[in-house]
Amino acid sequence: MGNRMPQVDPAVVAGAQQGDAEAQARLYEVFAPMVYTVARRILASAVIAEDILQETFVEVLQKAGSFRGESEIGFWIRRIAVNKCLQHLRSGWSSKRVDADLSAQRCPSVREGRIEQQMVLEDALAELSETARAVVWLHDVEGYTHKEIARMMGRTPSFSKSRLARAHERLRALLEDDFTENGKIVCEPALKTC
Amino acid sequence: MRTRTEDLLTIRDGEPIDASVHSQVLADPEFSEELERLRAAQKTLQELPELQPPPGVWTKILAEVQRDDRREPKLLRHWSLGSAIAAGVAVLAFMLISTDPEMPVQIESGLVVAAPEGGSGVLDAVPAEELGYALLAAESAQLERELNSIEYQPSLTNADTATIAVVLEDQIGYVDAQLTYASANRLDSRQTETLWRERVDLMSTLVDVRYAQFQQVGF
Repeated sequence: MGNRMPQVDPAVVAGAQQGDAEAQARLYEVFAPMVYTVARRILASAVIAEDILQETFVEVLQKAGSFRGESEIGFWIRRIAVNKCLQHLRSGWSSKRVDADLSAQRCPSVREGRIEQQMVLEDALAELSETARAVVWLHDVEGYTHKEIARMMGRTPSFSKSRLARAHERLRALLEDDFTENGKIVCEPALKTC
Repeated sequence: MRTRTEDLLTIRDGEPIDASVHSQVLADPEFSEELERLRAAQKTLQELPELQPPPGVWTKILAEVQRDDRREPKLLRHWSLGSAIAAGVAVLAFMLISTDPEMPVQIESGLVVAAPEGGSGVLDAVPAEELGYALLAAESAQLERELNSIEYQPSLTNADTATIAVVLEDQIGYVDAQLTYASANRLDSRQTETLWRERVDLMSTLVDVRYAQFQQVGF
């Protein structure tokens, strides 16, 4: 999904920049799911993700006039959202606040095929540390380079690389815990899925 | 182990890597399998479904933006405490220097002018020659309302700021007293307008000082 940035008519962007209410609503309609998904995946909390979505679009509406069109507006919006997520992580407010809803009410009986695999991965992702989760999502899904992640996080590219490697090792361990030899999923205590 | 995963990720992402490491990874079935696992993990992550935001967020966003828009003039006033004090001192100094000698001085402490509630309705029946100070009176009333809307905690402000605010309030009271007796003292429209202008300047500075106090307490 990360590389599939939603597209919007340039007229909508221009309208939003001029304060046209309909164009602004359209901008929200097109990009809100992307912003909400990024925030939810990085922060693993529906409540905080909603706050990030709100803050992001308040800023988008207020600063639309300053968007110079050097890149697609979707990338500009996503950058605002990502910065807000990282600010939130830095603030320390999000520590250990992971929603139960990412993993709750899921039992082996409802997990099937691809969806099942995705659910397991979502659960494992939510088990990672905040920074690790952010690095994994930003690099592997959103396509940011280690250099870009390092700049946004105020760290070095080596930090980003090593966090990504460690996160994948952790993911592997979590996913191995979650599968039996027969390929059937069991509810491991570590994942608290049932 | 960590170095190996980093190397595998470097290969997976097509980034430059030492040729010997690359060939070693490709030659080892275990490494190749792990590389495939990392590719699959990334693919699955990328294929995770997009999540739909809860309803009602757009309404909240619009409300927030409108609230900020209304706050905008105040944010423009978003002076530092030092600037507000400096402005207060400057206004007071200017007033002391520029007091019109022809202006009747009649200090009646405690007297205040009931400021009009503002709005165009107030100005409808105003004669053209009085429109200037009627507008100023409306602006003054608006500042009064803005001042009343600031939630600050006087007990937490420093003495210098508090002094400036008190002096400004005294000066406003002084101007108000003169305005109360404007007709009794036969002030013409130019003199009345000057008084209203002074009141607006003082009120505006007082609002800035109060905002500065509020912000200092708030942050």
